[in-house]
Amino acid sequence: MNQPTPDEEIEKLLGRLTPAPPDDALMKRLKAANPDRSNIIPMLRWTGIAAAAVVALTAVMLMRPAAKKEMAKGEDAPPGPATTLPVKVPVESRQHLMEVKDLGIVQDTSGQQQPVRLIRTTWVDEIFYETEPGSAPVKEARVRQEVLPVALNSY
Amino acid sequence: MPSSSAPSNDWNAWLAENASRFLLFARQQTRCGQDAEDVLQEALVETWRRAGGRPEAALVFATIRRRAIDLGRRTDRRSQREQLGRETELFTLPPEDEDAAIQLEQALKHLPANQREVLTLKFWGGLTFVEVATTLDIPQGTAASRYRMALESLRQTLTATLT
Repeated sequence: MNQPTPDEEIEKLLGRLTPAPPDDALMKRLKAANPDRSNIIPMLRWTGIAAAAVVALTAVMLMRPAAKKEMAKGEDAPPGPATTLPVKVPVESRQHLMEVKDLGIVQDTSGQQQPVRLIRTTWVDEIFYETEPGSAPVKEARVRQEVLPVALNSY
Repeated sequence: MPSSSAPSNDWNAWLAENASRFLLFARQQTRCGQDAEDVLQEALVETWRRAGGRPEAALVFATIRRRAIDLGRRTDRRSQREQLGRETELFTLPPEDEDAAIQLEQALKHLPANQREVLTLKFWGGLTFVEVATTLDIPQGTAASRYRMALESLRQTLTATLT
């Protein structure tokens, strides 16, 4: 029979100890923090806000060419290449949420405000422009990132 | 590998299976019980989200360690005050051999912190030396030698009392 080595003897002793389990209060708290459940509502809320912001931005962009045209009417625009440049009119936009990254929890040092989780969202904005009425739209895409606060459940 | 098809209640099952060993490490990495619980919750939620389900144990331990360091920097003075006079029960002791287990637990508490964290990750955390080294940001050989030194130190301390 093989004699146990000194290390094996100590490891056998260590095996008598088992890590103390979390108490009931902590276990309840951890179960309530289920990421699969708490993710959905804040994400929907902030996605909605982000979508509204994009709609507002698109509306502003749609208004700008119209304002330029109004200004051009009042001027004696000289004939030449400048007047023949195509005007890009945004006719459609699509936003795709590509990634959500958890940046961590922040809390003010005074402890007077609830901590919030910061998430970084990465979007691809596709904007379709029409250079001439009835022509096929031209697509431009750009990546946009936003850091958003998400309220945490308090226990 | 994280299980991508885990049902939503898998979180509870995962907690039941693993919370004890993660809590042990969180308690050793922080200065008070409340900090340990905060760090534990933050790390568990973060790693679960990042993995999209059950994360690797090594990732959880590494995240606990990072979050504990962050918290320690933010709340250094407060935690030191709270630590005074507070003793957390780290282990469940076997009733049939409680005296020996208590002596062992005391010996563990007197190990140098860098040996104790390696021992905890290897023995109760179930990590390999490679994973321990990655978690603690140390070379693999250092992890192995700290483990052996911890066992040797415990053996010397306990020889007189347990033999």
